Amino acid sequence: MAIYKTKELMLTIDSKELDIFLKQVIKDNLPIEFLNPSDLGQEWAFFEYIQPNIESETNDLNLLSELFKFYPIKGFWSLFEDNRILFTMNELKHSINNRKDLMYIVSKLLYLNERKKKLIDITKRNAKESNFEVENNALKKEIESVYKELDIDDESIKDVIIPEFKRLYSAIEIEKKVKELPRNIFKTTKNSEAYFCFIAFPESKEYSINKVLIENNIACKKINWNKDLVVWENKNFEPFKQISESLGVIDQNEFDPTVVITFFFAFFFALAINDALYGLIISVFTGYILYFKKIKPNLKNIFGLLFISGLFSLVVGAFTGSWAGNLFEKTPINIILSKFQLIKQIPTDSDKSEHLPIINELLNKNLNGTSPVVALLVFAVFIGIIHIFTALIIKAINAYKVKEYDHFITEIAWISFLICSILYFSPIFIFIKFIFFILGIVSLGLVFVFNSGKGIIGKIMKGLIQLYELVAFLADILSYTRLIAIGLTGAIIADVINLLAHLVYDANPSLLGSVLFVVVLLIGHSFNLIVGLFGAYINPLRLHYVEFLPKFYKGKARQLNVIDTNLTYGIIKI
Amino acid sequence: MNFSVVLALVGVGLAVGMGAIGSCIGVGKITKVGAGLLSKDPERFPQILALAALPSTQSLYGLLFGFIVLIKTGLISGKAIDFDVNTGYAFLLAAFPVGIATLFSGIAQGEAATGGIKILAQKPENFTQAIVLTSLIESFAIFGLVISLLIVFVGINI
Repeated sequence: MAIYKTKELMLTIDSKELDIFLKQVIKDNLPIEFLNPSDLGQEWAFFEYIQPNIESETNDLNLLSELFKFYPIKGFWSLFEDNRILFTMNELKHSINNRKDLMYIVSKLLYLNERKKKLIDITKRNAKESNFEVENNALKKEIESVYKELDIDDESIKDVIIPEFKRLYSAIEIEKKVKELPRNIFKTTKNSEAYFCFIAFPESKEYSINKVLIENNIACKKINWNKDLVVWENKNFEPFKQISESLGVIDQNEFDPTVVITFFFAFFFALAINDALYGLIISVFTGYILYFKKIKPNLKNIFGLLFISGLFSLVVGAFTGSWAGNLFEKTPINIILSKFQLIKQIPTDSDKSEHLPIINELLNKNLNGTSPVVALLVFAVFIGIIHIFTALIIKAINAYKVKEYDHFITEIAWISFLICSILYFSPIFIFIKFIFFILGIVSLGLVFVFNSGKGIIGKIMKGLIQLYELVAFLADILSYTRLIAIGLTGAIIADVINLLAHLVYDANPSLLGSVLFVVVLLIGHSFNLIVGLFGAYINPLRLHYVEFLPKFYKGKARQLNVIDTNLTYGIIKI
Repeated sequence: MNFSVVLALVGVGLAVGMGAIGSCIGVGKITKVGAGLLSKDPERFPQILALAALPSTQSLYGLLFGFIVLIKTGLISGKAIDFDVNTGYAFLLAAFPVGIATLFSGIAQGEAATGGIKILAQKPENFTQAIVLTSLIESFAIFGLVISLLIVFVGINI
């Protein structure tokens, strides 16, 4: 993960030069943002915005781009790949030089494609009545005649024609993009001859941007801007970045919590789902969509998040031995599955609910006299303590980074006070207890001395307010019991579904019974999975937004808001 | 059937029923406002569905409690275990934390999600915030559930 600083430049440029510059920027995929001088502060406010005069050109390129718009890209390419409508390299080269011909070819091919689609549609609807053969032959003949007219060859389609078309497509795309971008050009006064625009970009791209500026003879001047404008580059944890980012973007003085959030979110999700098979299903489904299908960018994040969380659920579920509840318990697969199980089932002599091992386990108080439910709840509180302490430590790190040492000492002392309080009330040897008591008092003293209050009364007031945080701390850690409650809900309902399926089969042990058995399992488990997914997504999110992030997260910086330079076919050389 | 078993069953009915009432009112409120937004902006359907699903969990907690009591008393497999009247009352009273918590939190969550739909109408990019704000109320239902579960698992020995 990295957070980069940005550079800001003032360019002396007019509308036409800006077009050329932008074209180069999009071609090289450079991240820049256009700034408004009023953002830069009072000293720049005298610049006046110039309304651009939008030219309406109706050249061939525009027409062609209209055609592309009308036929979405995917459909356009399937035209050449699926229907094998081909034409020669010479034809194409000629066409690119003389775009009217290309228009003619493309429109003709699209027309044929459309006819073929319609034919297939009609055949699908009334398969028996249609005279598909006759119409198909007619179409084939027509295609042949068009091929002849265009002088078509089938050799070079993949190697030459498609790349050539991609290049043409990208050229059109760039031109369209440049036209659609807002013209952020400014003047000093209404009558002045000089035009300016202001750009910001990551420090790492300084060389490439300068190169473009020098190549196009554009004059530029560095401007010093003290605002925090940052660039995030953290492709690996992209899905989890959005969790903290919706509270704002951190600047370079703040600790980046993305990795911490990734681990905790996925772990909490796993505890709330608490099932290996469900986790596997979630991961396989989201993984398939992520890596083998094209999805919208706004869905990409949530699917990535579910993919990683699903993998965590697989591991946690395997440790607790839960595969769709106890679905495989009486099958041979269980021998393999139970090898992963770390937390073994407690042996029980009662047989009152033989189908429901989880309940059995919970009903039998065998864990050193403590009920397993209580043990699980204590475990959740323990996780909560770790999570809250992580937040407090990050808060201390942030204070250290901006060199607020008083604040840093207060935070460390507060953490030490909390640890001492917890250890004091835990069952340990009396002498060690005494040590922790002394340490706790010392820490609390430090909190009172080093806090940000002014004067003795101010310090005491701030210290008391900090002490009141103890209540909030208790409320926070109790909140983590939700993870166990939700995990338990899912696990018990999964067991009940398995029990119901067995009951249905036992009542009618025939083929019908087996079918009903599978139907009950499928419907029940999909329902449980979807409901569990809601709970397992929303509750960890809440724990981060309410308990974790507000402890340290400031997010006051502004992220570089780059122009969209993505091309459908990537970076190209024209 | 013993009176004690009847008491336990009343508890089951209370928990499941109260949870279901809470969910009904909550989901009803959201769908009413959501349908209004849908008439203008049909593309918001998945988000409205997600908000409407939030108060449905309340009935699930009631259902969970019901299942656990049925399992613990052996009623689910038709072989009721003998227990005394006091234990029956304990089962009945154990239904109250989860029942009351789910009933009122379901209604309140419906109200909150109605506000969330306003966020969705005007600033759809802040949808996560709407979800988080609405899910704050979920805690109180969960706390009720935790206590009810503790009573049944730890408090009652049969």
